[in-house]
Order: sequence, then C-alpha cells, then structure tokens
Amino acid sequence: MRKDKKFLKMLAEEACREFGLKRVYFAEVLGKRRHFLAGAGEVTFEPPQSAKLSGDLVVFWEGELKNKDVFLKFLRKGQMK
Amino acid sequence: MLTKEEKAWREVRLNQILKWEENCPYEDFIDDEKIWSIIEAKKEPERQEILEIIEKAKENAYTGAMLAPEEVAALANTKDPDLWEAIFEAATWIKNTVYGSRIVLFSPLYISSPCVNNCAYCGFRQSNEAVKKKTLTMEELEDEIRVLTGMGQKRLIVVYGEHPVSDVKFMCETIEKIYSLKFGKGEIRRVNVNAPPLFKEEYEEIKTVGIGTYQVFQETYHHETYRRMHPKGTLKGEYKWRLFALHRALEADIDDVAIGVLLGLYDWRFELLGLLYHAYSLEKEFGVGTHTISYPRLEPAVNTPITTKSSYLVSDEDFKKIVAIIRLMCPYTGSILTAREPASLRQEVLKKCGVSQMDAGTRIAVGGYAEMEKEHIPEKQQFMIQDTRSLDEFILDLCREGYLPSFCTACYREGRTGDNFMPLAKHATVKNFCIANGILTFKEYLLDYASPEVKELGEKVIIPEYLKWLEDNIPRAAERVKELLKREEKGERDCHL
Repeated sequence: MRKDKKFLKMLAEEACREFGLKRVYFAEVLGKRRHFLAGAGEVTFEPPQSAKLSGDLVVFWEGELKNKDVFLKFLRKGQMK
Repeated sequence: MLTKEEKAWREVRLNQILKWEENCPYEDFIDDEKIWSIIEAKKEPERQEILEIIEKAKENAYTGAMLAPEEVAALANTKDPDLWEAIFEAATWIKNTVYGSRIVLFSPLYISSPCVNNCAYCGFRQSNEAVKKKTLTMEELEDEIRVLTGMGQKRLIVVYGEHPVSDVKFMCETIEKIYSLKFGKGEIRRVNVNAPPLFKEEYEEIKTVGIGTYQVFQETYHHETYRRMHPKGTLKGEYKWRLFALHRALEADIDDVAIGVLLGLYDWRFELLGLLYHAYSLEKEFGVGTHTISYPRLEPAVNTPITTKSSYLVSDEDFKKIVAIIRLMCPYTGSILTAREPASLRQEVLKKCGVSQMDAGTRIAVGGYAEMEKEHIPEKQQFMIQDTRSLDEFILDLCREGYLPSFCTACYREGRTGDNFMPLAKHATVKNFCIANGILTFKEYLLDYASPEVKELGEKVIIPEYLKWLEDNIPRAAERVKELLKREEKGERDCHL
C-alpha cells in the first residue's frame, strides 16, 4: 500500500468530495498508536469512524457515510493508481 | 565503577556520537551571549509593556504563536506583584481556553537505573555507590503494571538509564510487554518514554512499538554549566548530541516529542529562553511544536550534594512564575507538574499557573510500585519526591477544586498525532476532545477504582458539570458521550471519541 503523505492527502481530498464527508485521514497502525500520515477536511469533534484498508493502513472519517463498502472500495482502488 | 564491558560499550557509542556531531546538519540554536543580552536589555520592563505581552499571549492561544524571546525575558524580569497576578490569571485563562479544566493523570515508571553517565546532580550516576542500581525483569515489570493498573492508571512515562542493559531492544521489549498486559478491566493504554537520545535508526525501531511521546530534557541550555554537570568522555557530555535528540526523533517520524529543563542548575531566566529557542527550532525544522514541556526542580538525592548546594536553586515563588511564563510563551503545549513538588505547592501551581498534566500515587524507585506501602526507598531512587498523596487522594483534591481528572489516551489512538494533533492545540479546539474523553475515562475510574468520597463527588458534581459544558458547546458530541456512559455502566470499557 502507498503511504506517501502527498498522495494520501490527495486521496483524502478526493474522498471528502466524492462522499460528502467532513474529514478523511489516514494513519499507520503501530501497536496501540494510530500514527497520522495525511488527511483533508475539517475536524467536527464528533467521533471519527475507522476501518482497516490493508496491511497496517487505516482510514478515519468524520461525517455521514451512506455506503461504507463503496467508500472503502474507492480508497482501495485509489491506492492502486 | 564501570565494568570493562560497560566501558567498551560506552566508547563505541561515544565514537558514533562524535561522528554524528561532526556531520550534524543543524546549527546550535543556543547563543549564550545573545540570551544574556536579551535578559539584560529587558531588566526593567514597563508596566504597559507587560500588559501588552499578556494580551498578546492570550491572543496567541487561538493561533498557536509563541512569544518572542524579548517578551519572555520581560515577563521573567517583572517585579510588580499586581502584574504577577495578571500573569497568573492569564496563564489559567490560556490553559482553560486551550485544554479546558481537565488535568491529565499519569504515572512515571522507572524501568532501569544503571547508567554509564556521571551527571553531578543525579542519584543514578555511575560513580554513586550509595544508590543500588536495578533493572526490572519482565516478571517484576508485570508486578509493577499490576499495581499501577490496580490504582486505575492508564498512562505511563517509562524511564530508562543509558546503559547496555537498557538499549533500544530492551526498551521495545518492555514497552510491548506493558501494552500486552491486562488485569481484569485494567490496562495501560499509552506509554510515553523518557530515555537517552538515540540515533535515527534506533528511533525508527522504537517507533514501531507504538509509543506516545518521546521526552529528552536538555537539563540545562547553558553551555558552560552543561559542561560542568556532564563530564567529558561520558555520553551525556555531548551537548549538541542531546540538543538535537528530538530533531533526530522527528527525522525518524516520531512526531510527538517533549522538552524540559532541570531547574536549579543555572539561572532560570536563561533556561526559559533556552526552552523557547528549542521549541522555535522544532517548529522551524519540522513544523511540529513540542508536545509537552517539563520543568522539574532539583530535589535531594542520596550522596549527591549539589542537589542542596547549587547556587541556582529555584524558590517556590520563582517556580510559580516559571510555570506561568511557560504557559504564556508556548500556549499550545502540555505543561507537566510532577510529584517532586510538595502537595500544597502543587495545588497552588495547579490553580494559577496553567498546568495540564500531573502524576499522582508516584513511586520512583525501580520496583517501587510493588512496594507500595513504602513512600520512599532513598537508596533506590534518583531523587526524593515530595507529594506522596495516593492517586485517589489526589483525585479527590482535584474534584474539590472543580477539575476534571482525565485518564484520556484517545488522541494518539485515533490518529490525532503530530501535525493532526497540533492544529487542535494551536487553535484551542483540542478541549472539545479533552472534555469528552476526560468524562468517559473519569467515569471508568469511578466505576472501577474510586473511594466512596470520590465516587459521590464525581457522579454528583464533576461529571454533570462537564457534561453540561459539552451540551452547551458540542451537543452532538454530548449525545454520543451520554450513550457511551450508559455502555460503560453496563460494563464496556475504553469508550472514547
């Protein structure tokens, strides 16, 4: 999985636009720590949702998401670019 | 006396350090003469100037900007008691604006005391045979964690000496061990590290085990004092190596780092400016400020005369000023007040100087928590602690003053680290998370560990009061917290935002 920050920032921006989310960000799993890599959007101070993308990469999002599976598919596809 | 093997390890490492210093990519940002000239130039600041600096510091709470060195020097040279009251008020205002009235609780855990260094002020220095050095075995570490989690603690700062027995591999193993342990509902959720400076590759290794913050204190920023305190030929004798310890950590992508000084080694006004220049340098090079600032005072240690005879020992009055100025000069940073200080002074500093994190129920002997009934084991300690209140007694005192005791470890587990965390602190919005997660972790404490007195005050006063704040400020988060509180009452744990 690609972890370069510039790429992930762009992917987060795209995901915010495409799914109408307030915020999307990526983090690396290091033990209990979710180590921030890059993200886009504004913090809402509401609980973020998260899901594993692949390997040690997780995605967090804030805002209402209608279809989680489509969202994750979009990100995984984006990762393949 | 060091063994032949210890000496050999030190020599190899020292050579590597000297090589790093030769190729150091950074300029020493501490200019002793310049700092003194700034302090001298601001020897007698005007009243109006101080009032303007106070206003600027309050504005900075919303932008994350730091004060200028001249402004910090002016504050440090202020003598008018009325102006000091205004500074203290501002420190409290800034802290509450950025973090809210919550106090994050942690415990220090000394894992190893053998050290190849020989620092004049340290009870663990290698030549001090009056203090028994010890490294915890994995079984002993487990015993310590059992006691700490049994008290209700969730957050640690682990401390290591600089020695081959506590190298990076050992540090990683012990941190992984701590994270792996669970005793009923008790567990440690965040491990911060206070340890010697490392090479970039070593930081990369320790990063993989998921640490919280990496702390390295410069002890003193004054070059000549540093040289006298840390003998040549020891690893800690290399000023530049230590000054850029956290730059290397950031190069290795450890993005939560913390600075500090040991007050009492040199003039505190100089040290304040040293801290400020250090924070500036981290910002300039990496765009990430210091996560916390610590300001321990020299405390007596067995067979360590300088701890009581230094001509720079800091009085209680000056100590309060230092803590307040740190809050004004660097509004976004966490401010750590430790149990080195006596209980009565801690309560006062807490109320007026903008502190955000404190330890309680502290034992600093290696293996000290397993001998909980002994407040002090001087022959096994680096120094003496003064505040010997239990964690529950301390929490009761916090509640009586209206503070929200917090065991929160949510940010670093929700990806709010480094430059995802800093904007929250720099724009004074992190309190929205702090209060919500403070309520949830305090509720866990009330359910699992609290004395009847704390439980009563917590349930009837503290939690309703802070929930009300949340309802008034972020209603949707308040709703979510209420749902999570119900789940905690049913037995669920580690609910957080």
